[in-house]
Amino acid sequence: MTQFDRRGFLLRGMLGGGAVAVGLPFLDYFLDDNGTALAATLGGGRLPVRFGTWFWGCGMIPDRWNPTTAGANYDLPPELAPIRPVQDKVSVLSGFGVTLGGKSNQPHISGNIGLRTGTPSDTWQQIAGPTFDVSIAGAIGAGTLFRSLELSVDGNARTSFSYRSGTEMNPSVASPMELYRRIFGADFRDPNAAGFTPDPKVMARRSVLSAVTDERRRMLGKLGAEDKARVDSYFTSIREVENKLALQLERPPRAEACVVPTQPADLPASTDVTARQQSHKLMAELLAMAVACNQTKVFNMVFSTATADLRQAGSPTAYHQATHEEQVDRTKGYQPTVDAFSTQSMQGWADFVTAMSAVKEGDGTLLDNMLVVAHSEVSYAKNHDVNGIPVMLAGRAGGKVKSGIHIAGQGDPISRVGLTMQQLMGVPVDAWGTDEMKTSRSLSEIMV
Amino acid sequence: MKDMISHGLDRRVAAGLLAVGGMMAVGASAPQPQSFSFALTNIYVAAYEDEKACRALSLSSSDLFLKSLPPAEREKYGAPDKVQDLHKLMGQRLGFKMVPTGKVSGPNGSMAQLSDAEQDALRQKYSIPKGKGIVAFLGTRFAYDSCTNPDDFPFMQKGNEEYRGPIAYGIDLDRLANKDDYVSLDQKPGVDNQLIRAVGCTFSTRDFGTPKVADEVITSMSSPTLVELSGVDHPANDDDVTVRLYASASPLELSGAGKPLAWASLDVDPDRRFMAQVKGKIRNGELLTEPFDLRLRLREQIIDSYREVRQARIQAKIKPGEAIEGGIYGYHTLASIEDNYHQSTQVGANLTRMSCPALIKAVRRYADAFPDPKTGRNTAISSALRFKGVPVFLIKPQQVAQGVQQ
Amino acid sequence: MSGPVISSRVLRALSAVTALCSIGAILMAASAGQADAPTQQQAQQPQVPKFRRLTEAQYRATIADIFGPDIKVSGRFEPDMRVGGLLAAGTSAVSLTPAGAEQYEQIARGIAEQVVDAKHRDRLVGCAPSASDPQGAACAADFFKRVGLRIYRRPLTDGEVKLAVAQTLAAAATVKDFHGGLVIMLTAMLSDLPFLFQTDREVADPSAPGGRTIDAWSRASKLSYFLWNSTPDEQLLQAAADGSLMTQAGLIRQVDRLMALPRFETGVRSFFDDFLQLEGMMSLSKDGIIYPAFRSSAAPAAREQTLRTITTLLVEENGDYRDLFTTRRVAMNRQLSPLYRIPYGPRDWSMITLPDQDPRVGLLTQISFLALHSHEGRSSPTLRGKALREVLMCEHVPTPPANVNFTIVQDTSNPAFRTTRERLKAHLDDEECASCHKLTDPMGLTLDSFDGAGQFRPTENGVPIDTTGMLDKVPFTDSAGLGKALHDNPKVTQCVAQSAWRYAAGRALLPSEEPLMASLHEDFAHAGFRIRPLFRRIVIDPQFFAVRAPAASRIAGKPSSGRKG
Repeated sequence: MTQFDRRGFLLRGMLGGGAVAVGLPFLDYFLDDNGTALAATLGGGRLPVRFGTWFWGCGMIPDRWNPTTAGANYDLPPELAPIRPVQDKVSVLSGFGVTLGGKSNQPHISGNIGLRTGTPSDTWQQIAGPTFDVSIAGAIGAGTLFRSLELSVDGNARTSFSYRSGTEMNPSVASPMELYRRIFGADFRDPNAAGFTPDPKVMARRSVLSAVTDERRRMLGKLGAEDKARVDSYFTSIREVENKLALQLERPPRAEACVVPTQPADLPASTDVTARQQSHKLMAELLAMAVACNQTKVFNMVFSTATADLRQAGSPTAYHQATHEEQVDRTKGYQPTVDAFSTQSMQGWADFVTAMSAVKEGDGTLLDNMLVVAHSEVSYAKNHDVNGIPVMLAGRAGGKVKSGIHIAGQGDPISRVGLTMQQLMGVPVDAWGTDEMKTSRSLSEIMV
Repeated sequence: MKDMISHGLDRRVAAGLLAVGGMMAVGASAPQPQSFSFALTNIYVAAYEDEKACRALSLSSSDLFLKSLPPAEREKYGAPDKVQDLHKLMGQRLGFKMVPTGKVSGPNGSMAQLSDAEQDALRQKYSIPKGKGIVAFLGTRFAYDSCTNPDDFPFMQKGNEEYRGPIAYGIDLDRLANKDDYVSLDQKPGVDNQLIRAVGCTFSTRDFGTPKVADEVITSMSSPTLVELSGVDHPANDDDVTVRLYASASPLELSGAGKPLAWASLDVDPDRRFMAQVKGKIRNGELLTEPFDLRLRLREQIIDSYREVRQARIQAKIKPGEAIEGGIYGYHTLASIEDNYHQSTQVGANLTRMSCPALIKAVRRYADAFPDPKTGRNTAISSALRFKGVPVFLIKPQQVAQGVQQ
Repeated sequence: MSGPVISSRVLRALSAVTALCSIGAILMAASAGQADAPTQQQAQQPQVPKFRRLTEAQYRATIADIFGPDIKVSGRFEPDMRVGGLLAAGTSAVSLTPAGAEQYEQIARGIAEQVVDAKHRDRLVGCAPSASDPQGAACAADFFKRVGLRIYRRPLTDGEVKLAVAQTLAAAATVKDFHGGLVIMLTAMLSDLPFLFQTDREVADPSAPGGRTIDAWSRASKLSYFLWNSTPDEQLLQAAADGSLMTQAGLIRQVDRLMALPRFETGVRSFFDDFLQLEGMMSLSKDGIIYPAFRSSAAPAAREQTLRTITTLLVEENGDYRDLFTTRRVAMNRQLSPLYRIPYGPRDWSMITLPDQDPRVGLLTQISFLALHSHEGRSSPTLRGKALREVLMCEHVPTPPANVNFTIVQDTSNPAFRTTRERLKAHLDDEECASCHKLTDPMGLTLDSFDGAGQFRPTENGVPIDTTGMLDKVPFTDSAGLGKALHDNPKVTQCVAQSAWRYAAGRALLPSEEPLMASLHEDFAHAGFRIRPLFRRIVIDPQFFAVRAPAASRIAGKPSSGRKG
């Protein structure tokens, strides 16, 4: 991918005065061979299109989750029942898998890495490239305070499946209170506040940081390959900070749906599934406002960890343990505890979709201007099956995507999902994944 | 760094306590006598649930005040949503006072001390009648109302309902069959419990006195009562054990689930007023003590008071390493009961819907033991207190350890 | 010890030795490397990474050392990465993400604002614009020379000083406030690479013609972050400035001084915190219904207990590392005593000796190990056995295969399998599972008389727990026997020595360092497995400051001097 010197562009924009107004959207336009970035960023020139992922752990029980009918008005098996109220907004992608191609299936890892990077590997440290959300943030994340927001409801900043590289995980904001402070705290700029005067402090901060970093870069000599990669990454990250500062010097775009929420109660992180759903709902609502207030265009939400860290208070066996240890009930024909947790996870997803569609924006809802991919890391967790990993989509990406349909993947590489998402969001990529996971077939069924 | 097994702990006791763990480990009895200690999480006036025992709930002081008002005002303040206005009016009309002393409460929920001169100054400053009112709210307030001075408000002595049920908690204290005696829950006759007759129909006794409610409540959190059984050769059957009571100098600790935490180390309060010792025996896991006089600290929220029971017997089921549950049966002194009511003040009376003058009058009326040699009036009332406790370790200051060895 | 401990003495020493601080020494690798190419043989060996990101603990300690403990460091740090079991080894693998950079800049701003605020200004800045210095240029130069030395852990170049002054004045002009300008420049400096990363700068090795090593300033950082987990102090910087750190004698002088001070205990503590992965205790939670006694205060207290026990026994008392596995002595407080079911009198921490009949013996029976390597609602012999192998013995236990066949239920209420051992045994009838579980379970089961919260339980579902087990063919009947087996197992001492090396180096072990590890362990054994001689041996080995992996042919030798009795 071409690296364009955004900072240089911004500096010129700053100095050139009038150029500032056009700023980043056009930068993205130039970056994009297909011209889709412009549409994605501006959403037809008015509302921005946003992208997100939503993760839940431990998959599902295939017979209890996979719809049997394809297309619109698909049937809802028991574990999918919670999404009934939002079914018209949710598409189900079943039967897509990670093809390991001789690589090991590291439980709860390989499937997730394969889905997120298009190339399965044994550990996150060994991934071949960034996760697709990072590429998408590179394409559309500019122009907001946060290039992307990583969220995890489990209270752990390290629970994140957003990686720029094997050693660079984007850490998560891990509680509703922290999310509130990050977005609506001291640095929050109301996008609709009347009048705008660039803050001289921010101007000076950006200028000094830039000067010191330039000098540092100049002083560094030749380095070993690994050190060089790390140092480059450091400079890129510092540049992001500079870019953010530069953005604060521009008048923010108008956000009509933006209402600053009140500060939430500080819910402690919990593995109890009911408490988790509560925290998640709160974070989802805050996130919806963060998006509506143009603070970010890309997000990654983790509902439960890979190896789902969920429990029912008082029960000695947690979700993940149950997936392995619970016996299939003779009369029911499935693992009842696992089934219950899987259904509860789907309730979480339904809550998320509801939170996004509760915000009115333009003629529709915030969700209409979004595309959210929900997925897990396995299908049937009992044996860590990476075939048929469940995926769902929500939102219409500003009218570019159909919603409410079921596509049965029939064993196709799940990299088709990642490829399609990137293309829809304007990442200039015509094929994605490696070896057997390499694909150039996007999911045309969902395109309008 | 100097190591220690158990700092300041009576070594013999410590060894015994540790032997408990040892015994549990191998499932066999240890050769040496053991000790078991418990912190009591709630001690309460136990009420047997009997729908028919009360003709009605006893009237509260504000009920009585309302009755005393002219019809127009009675109409105005009679609605349930006017109860706060009613309390306010009652305070104004009757001259109740609740004024700051400028003191802060003492350590660990204890009462700050005010000298007589300081109290007189407060009376003068806030127009409280001479010699009236008490230090309340752990010393942070000076109060004058129907609870601190019940005799000043005789019209509030009415309206108390007597507990008329046949069954009550308790034991036969006097070994006599009286017409006032109740039958125990397990159908034993001769139960002496005049306290329940006096207070058994108040809202708070009906509500908080039933074991299923009371056992979930923790009181005297900041200074629970500690029970120690020592010289136990066999935890289920032993004819000669020693029982000691103390107040704790450390607060009760809570578990992650919000329940009383077992096996915490709690400091024994060196205050001798709250120490008592008696011999007892264990039969089939049930402890039975000889009668003894005891004083328990009652330190709860705004109150730093005490319960005093004379000729008390403890009967309790002991599950070593798990729990203690039982009763304290004896003659509760009026002095300690009245001190509780005084300290609760009108604030407490309003919150728990009681009339201090009526209750104090009733308790005095039904008092059935220890007559004052001068006046001939009984100074104590037969009673049944129940309790529950969790196992803990006692940490004794050296002087206590020596003192109670005797 | 607080406040800006940068005396004019060090600065004088600096200017006196400008000649030593060649541009090559201050800048990095390449410019010097071009002038003085490494020998062919060295060039064949892989370079070791030159940047190690400060850990959160190091960052915090560093700020406290530079500016005083009253400067608050608030913000979320980028998560560290564990490599080969050590976060320290991950510091040379991580960089900085955009989210991390943003956080560090924010943290830096918070620090800079405090340093320059009215309360600290006089003490920490010490000057202001005046009649003779109307813009404050001289003041800024003075401030950044002093503070820059501590922040970069080396003197600023002239260019850097000039830049700092120019940027301060420009920012001051923009915000119309000299101190505002200082804040902005200081923030940038605290967000700068040489502060956030310990940086090894390569120079010609004065003691080995043609050889390369790292310069005195880099050495000072490496020593202090290893031995103190914080930034170099004034004396150490002076030893860097006067060049004495480049000599073996000067190095040993400083090493012995650093190790003689109480802060060495912090260094040892940090190592064991990392080695035993105890930071995991901070996010550990247990089911409050199953383990009500495991309160939220228990996990941090259990971490503290283990660290206090270790530093008392190994540092204060100079004990044998192996004895950690057999000792009945343990640090205690009242948060933990309920979990141990023992009476505990003191209000604060102290060391106690558990009675002879107590089932707990050694490190493995402390709450930290037992609870950390368990599930939220029950114990796990497999997790405990795995941790024992991987953490304490540096072995690798394979992860379960993907198609795990857990047909045997671990239902704790199944009347057919009442103890963990029975359930696991049934599970192990599957040969594929058995091959890995036999690595972990035989010793994990010995610890199963402690539940998932680390509390002793003689029985499970009414059945006495069988604690017999085996470790590398040594059989035992209880956790005391397991402790003894670990005490006598050479892998245990090899593992701690090798981990200390990787921790000190801040990177993974290089294949050609194996002979060095053998030598380290031999000397560790020779010193009675005391931790001080081990740490000392590590820092005076020439490889500690090497820029490349040792040649494969290198015969691991003893460091040239400085062995202490």
